[in-house]
Amino acid sequence: MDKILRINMSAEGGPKINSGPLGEYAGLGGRALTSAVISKEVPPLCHPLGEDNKLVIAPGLLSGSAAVMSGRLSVGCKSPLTGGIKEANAGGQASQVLARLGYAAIILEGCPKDDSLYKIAINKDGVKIGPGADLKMLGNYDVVEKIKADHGDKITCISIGPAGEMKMSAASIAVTDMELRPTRHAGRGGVGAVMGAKGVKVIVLDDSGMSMRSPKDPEAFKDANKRFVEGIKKHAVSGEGLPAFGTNVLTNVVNEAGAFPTNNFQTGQFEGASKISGETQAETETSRGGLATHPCHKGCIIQCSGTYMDKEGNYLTKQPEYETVWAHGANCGIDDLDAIAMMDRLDDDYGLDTIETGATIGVAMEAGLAEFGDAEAAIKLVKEIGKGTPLGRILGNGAAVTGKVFGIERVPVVKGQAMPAYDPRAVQGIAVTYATSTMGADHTAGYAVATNILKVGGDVDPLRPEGQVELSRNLQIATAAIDATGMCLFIAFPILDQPETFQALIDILNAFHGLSMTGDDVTALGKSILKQERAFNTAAGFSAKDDRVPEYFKKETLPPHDVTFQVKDEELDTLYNW
Amino acid sequence: MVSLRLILEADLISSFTSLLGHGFYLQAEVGCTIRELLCDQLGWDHNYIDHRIQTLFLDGCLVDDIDRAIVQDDSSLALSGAMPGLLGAALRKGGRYSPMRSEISYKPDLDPVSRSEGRVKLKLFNFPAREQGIVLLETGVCFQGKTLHSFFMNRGDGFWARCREIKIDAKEVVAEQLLAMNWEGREVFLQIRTMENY
Repeated sequence: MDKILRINMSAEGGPKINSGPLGEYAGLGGRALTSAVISKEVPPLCHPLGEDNKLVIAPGLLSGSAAVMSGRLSVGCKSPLTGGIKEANAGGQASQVLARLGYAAIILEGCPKDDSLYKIAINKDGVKIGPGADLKMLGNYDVVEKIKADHGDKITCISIGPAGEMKMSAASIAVTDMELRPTRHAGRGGVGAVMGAKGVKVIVLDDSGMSMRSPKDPEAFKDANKRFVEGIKKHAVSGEGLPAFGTNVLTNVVNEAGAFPTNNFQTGQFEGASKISGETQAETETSRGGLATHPCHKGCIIQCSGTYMDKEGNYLTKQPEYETVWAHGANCGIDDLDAIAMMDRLDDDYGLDTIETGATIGVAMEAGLAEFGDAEAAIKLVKEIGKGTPLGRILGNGAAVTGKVFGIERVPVVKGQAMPAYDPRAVQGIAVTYATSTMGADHTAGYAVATNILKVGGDVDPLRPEGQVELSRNLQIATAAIDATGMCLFIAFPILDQPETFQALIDILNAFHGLSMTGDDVTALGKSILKQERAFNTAAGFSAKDDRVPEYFKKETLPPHDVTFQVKDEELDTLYNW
Repeated sequence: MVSLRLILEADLISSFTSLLGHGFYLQAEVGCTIRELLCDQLGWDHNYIDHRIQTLFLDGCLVDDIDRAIVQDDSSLALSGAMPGLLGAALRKGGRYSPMRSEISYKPDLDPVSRSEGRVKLKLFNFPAREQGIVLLETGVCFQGKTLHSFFMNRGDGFWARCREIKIDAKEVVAEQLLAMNWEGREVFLQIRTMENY
């Protein structure tokens, strides 16, 4: 990964390609690279859909190598949804392929002067940009079929659906999986709208003729990778729970905890939870000939994804994730897995963030556009988005916009981004991350890594109220570092519990790149990423008042535990004190 | 209470995993700790409880110490394996991140509780359902009739084709008769035998 591909979409005569060395970005990957570029090169006050914003697509430091779990792709920009810096992350094949083609990043700059749409094709011989008018307003599934017809099936696609073309703030960027289906998404923050503003419909990657990236110390790398595999496989979460049930294994448990936001965050338990649980989903999938265990990219050994068939046994969509099952399920009062799966398919095809879309439908239901529990009405509302009707355009711009248009106070967003599937009143430590993350309300920004190993901020006293702030700080730092490597965040569980597995990850990095990193270096990397992101957001106009959960979470009690959000504003404001 | 006995082909047992998450009822000596209930009364292995069951709820509150949490009459106990994500780590019994959910954690009652005969609702999720469910179903447990009926209504033809015997209150019936039963407001004692161990 020794070059960055820049494409100026504003250039006279059509998009102009410039491929060059990494320069000041050498040694960075994934979120470290996307956030460095955005914070250095994008004016914080620019319009997210304008020519000064950039879309940075970057594999991780280990992507394209034989390191297991290294297939995550980072996508960065100024977010049209939050107005702050954004890194959204996707699985699928693109990260591995782009890395093997030798690119540390693709950076889309400028905007076409007219509404031209382009297709970009990258292989070992170079880059070609051609007209994409024949793909205009196609869903992601049809885009991939057309690309396959032209390029064969040894390719990978990064694409937007109609939502991205219409520059909706809930628009995602799709990445094809191992079966060449557009099922993995860089979902959050409207990154798809920025790709649409850049006039790019699809990037086609073909690494035929390219080799896997080689480590600097092959023996040490092989040994470390082996230990890492052992650690992942022996852990109950990564080695058993996720492969067997997928992320939706959480539904029953989160519901039991009273933390499962139901009917637009009105309560924390959903009566229909077991009908949409991971256990029920796995059984439904296998009985219909689908898969409950499936990797989303080559080299994935956790295999938490799957395939969902309809009642006739035909492929409908990939196994809906926990967040999707919650957003289109309990949050809307819907207990029908087939309806949820249909909405997942529509989201993937239109190119929409399932969390934002489900949260938006929940707000729309509160506004009276549909009844809670009406699955058919919910599907119709999602289809409105795909059609781009006036109502669809409102909904496609997210929960905050929808709440404003329909006069709803109870809108579960932070920095304009919808909250994921854990009620902040029940699990207040997660709420701290929702409030303070540079990304807006984000459940992956403060992930579980062994803070006792990293010792960021010292050891935490669980009895002190500010203990929760310190936990969140430690986790956000560690997550930012993992996001730079291309590693799937689900490695966090074995790392949390097994110090030898965390050491194996550091050894993989060191052996691959010829470094001597320690846990302190990982911490420093995470801190540096967060510092840049925070500085960008401050310059973009964010302040402490934006690091808050909505007021009603402090006043409205959440059944069944009847709790409110208790962490004080002054405590939240200490998170970035290090 | 209605008695329902099924004899099924062995690999159909896994299809009951989701049912066990709805919850079922057991007669038990209550006023005991969770460990005493599961190990002394149900015969589960201590090692299994300590290492395999990583997330526990007693009456909807997260339990960190199974030797101090007391099961009372009408208590609801839910058991799960380790969960993914930050939330999973926060919910884990005695985990480092448990302060993140202190508002919904079980707080032991300091008053002594006397032992008596009582009833407990048990919910088994994911791996505990797969691993412990079969023994409990072979022993026989009690479900809400509506829950059980809904479960059977969602079984396909393939399930019933491999269900060798159905007896309601000791009388053999066919699947259609089972599905036509109205168990609203009633409890059903379900016992399952598989073809391999019948």
